[in-house]
Amino acid sequence: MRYRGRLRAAGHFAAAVAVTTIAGTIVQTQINLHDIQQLGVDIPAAIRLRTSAEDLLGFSPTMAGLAAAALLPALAFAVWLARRYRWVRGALFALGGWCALLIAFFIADAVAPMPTLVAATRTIAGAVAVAASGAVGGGVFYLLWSRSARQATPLVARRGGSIDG
Amino acid sequence: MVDSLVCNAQRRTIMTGKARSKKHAGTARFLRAMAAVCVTAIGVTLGAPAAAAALSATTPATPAQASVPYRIETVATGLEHPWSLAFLPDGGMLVTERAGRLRLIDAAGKLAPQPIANTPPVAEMRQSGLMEVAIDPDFATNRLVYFTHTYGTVQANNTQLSRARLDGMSLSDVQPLFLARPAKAGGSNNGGRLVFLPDNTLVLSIGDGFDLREQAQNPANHLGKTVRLNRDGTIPPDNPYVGRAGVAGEIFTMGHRNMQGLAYDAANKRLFTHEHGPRGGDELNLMAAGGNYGWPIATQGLDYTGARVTPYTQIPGTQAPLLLWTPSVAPSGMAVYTGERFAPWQGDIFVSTLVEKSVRRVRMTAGVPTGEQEILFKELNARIRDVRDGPDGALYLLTDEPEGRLLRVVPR
Repeated sequence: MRYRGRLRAAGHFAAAVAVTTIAGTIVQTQINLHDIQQLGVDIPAAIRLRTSAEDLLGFSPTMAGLAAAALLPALAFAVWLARRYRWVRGALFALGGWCALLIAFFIADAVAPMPTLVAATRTIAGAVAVAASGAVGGGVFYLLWSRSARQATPLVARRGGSIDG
Repeated sequence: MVDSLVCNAQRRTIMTGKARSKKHAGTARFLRAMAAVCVTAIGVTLGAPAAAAALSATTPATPAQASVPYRIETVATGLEHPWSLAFLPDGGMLVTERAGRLRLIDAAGKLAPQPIANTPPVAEMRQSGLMEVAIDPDFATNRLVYFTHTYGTVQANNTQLSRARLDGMSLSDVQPLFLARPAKAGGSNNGGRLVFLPDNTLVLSIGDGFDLREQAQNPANHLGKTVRLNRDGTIPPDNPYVGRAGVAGEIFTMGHRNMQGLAYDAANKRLFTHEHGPRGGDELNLMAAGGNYGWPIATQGLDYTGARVTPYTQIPGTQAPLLLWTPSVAPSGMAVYTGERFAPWQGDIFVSTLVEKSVRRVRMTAGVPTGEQEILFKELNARIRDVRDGPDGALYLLTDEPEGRLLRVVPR
């Protein structure tokens, strides 16, 4: 039973990382393309789509690594907090994911030999935009986690009991 | 069911101290595991570019027959990350060390124990510090030495060209001739090579500053450009952008990333540069005044993270490279061989590399690459920072190491 619970949590976490990776990759591609467009280069929709797809293949491993490293402690902490502050649970997960990605970018830049690892996060606006993918991932994790908690909780407990068990 | 919940609650409340410590141990195990996963994930993420760079060593060369048997002699050791060397008319050599020291090696090959005094302070970082050294073409009469170094701080720095007079073991009249603007953060992509042209001017390479890559297309500043200057640092009136409003008059070419190789082929009157691509897309270029070499709107390279820098590998109006190295070899220095001792190498371009740990011999005919390349000196297993065409017909190499070496390649 306990094993199944852990497996389910791992699945929720994997889904959150996947969603964060896809969203973050797409956002960073659009920021990079915007920067190129500002230099007077035309980027038709078909090229934009192709580049986004290429980045989903090429950049996503980096984004997945960052997302996994950032979301693991953030979501674990959010779960802990959510059991105490139930009225802000959804916001906790989204905010946690967002902040975690921002911190991950900051740490990566401090550790990496180059000034900024992910080019799209060179500006504050860019970093905030790409990190917003962490909020989406955090939200997805919350939806899955709360749904599975509801399913696992007996009816009586749902009517006034706890979902901690 | 209610009873069961109550029992569970009771069981939790009557947990013994031993059970609590077991639970805490479990929590600690979980936290440790979590920390390990985080560290591993960051390591994998940050290690990806390094792994990609390591793969760069596999960039193929068109096989050329082992052209000439050679022997490698050690001239000097104990040079801390040497960056550049210049040959003095008396047979001696000047060597820069990245940390800011200018070293003298006499004609007998003996390294002076003390560095040359009065070199200007430098901002040393992983890729910057004291970089190029070159002697004035009229050094025999004026004793002038030119060098490039990083000015400023980690937060705000760029490349500076300075000139001084060499008096024995000391520099005098140290003058800043040119400061690349604007200052940028971090020590990456500084360029820093210089070469003299026969028209009494010099050309200096300036990197894009890494985070400011789009500025390589901005003609109002020096980032990602080569600049052409008179030997006193003034702007030659025939520079391609002189007199245009909002354009830096020093600019000779633009659209570069990080050029660490500049060589003038006097026989064919051609100026060559090479530059580091990000992940792939290292280039050898033929310089044309006013040319735009495309970075970052056109490149064959990807960003270190695997992201596309631009959708385009070529764009009309930009100069295509003569040669590409993908995966990257990390080209760091360049020379056109003019000596007599290696006759088959005459006129060929030699490119030292950091990642491939080699020197690439690019075969040339009348100043044009033939398409053949030869990978040399892999047996050294060392990052090679610079390669020079010696006045004695030998090829000279500097290895990029804490205990760097000056090596001489002669026929066997």
